[in-house]
Amino acid sequence: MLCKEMIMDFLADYLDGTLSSDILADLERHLQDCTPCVAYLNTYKKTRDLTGQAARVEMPEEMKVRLREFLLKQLAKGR
Amino acid sequence: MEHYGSRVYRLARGITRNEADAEEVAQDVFLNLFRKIETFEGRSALGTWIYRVAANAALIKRRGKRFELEVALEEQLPTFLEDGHRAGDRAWVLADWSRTPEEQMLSAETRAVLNRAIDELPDHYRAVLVLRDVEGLSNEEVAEALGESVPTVKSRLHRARMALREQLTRHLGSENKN
Repeated sequence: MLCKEMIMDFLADYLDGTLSSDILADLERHLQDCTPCVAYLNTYKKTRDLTGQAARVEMPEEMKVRLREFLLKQLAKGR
Repeated sequence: MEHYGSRVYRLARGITRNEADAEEVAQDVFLNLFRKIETFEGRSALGTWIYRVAANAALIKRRGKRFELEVALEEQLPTFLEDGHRAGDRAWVLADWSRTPEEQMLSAETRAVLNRAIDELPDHYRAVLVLRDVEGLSNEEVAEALGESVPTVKSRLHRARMALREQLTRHLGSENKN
């Protein structure tokens, strides 16, 4: 397997655990010998995790209050 | 509303990148929801519907604004030599910042770099990224919510992650060479 194939074609499926057993074995062999691809895999995974953490925000309380008031007003109009 | 409020907000804010627009999207979504609540059969149908309506409303809000920050995604993707190895100097291709101490990884500066990189993604890529990597939906669920094919979702997700990785490597990689 080439670095280009590993990164562009198979990396995301590898993380999803959806590669066929042949390709998985090929990819894991490649990773044993390729430090740049190991670095790419590690930093790609970390990027995914950081995105999840950084963007995991809750709706602000004051927005929840405004939203409830908006809905009550609008729904009352529709009666 | 308790169950879905923050999900709608995260998706809307994630796509529009704007607090006021996200609030308007949430208003539209929940108003629609309360008017149609009796037509849903079970929570799974409701969840998909909410994500679909919220994503659509947020993408509509972005129309006309979408070229403000975007940079060409191609420039953010890894490049390769003819023999299939990665292009770039050795320090760059070996940069592994994944074991950077948490405090540096989660610092305001790193978050700003990541947020800026997310801002620069095309809207449809950002929508996929938020639904998959923040909300934790499957490729199939994202495809259904966005009305796209699964291969399109997978391709956009992978390219979005690679673009963000590139920016984070420029920021963190130089300080953490192996």
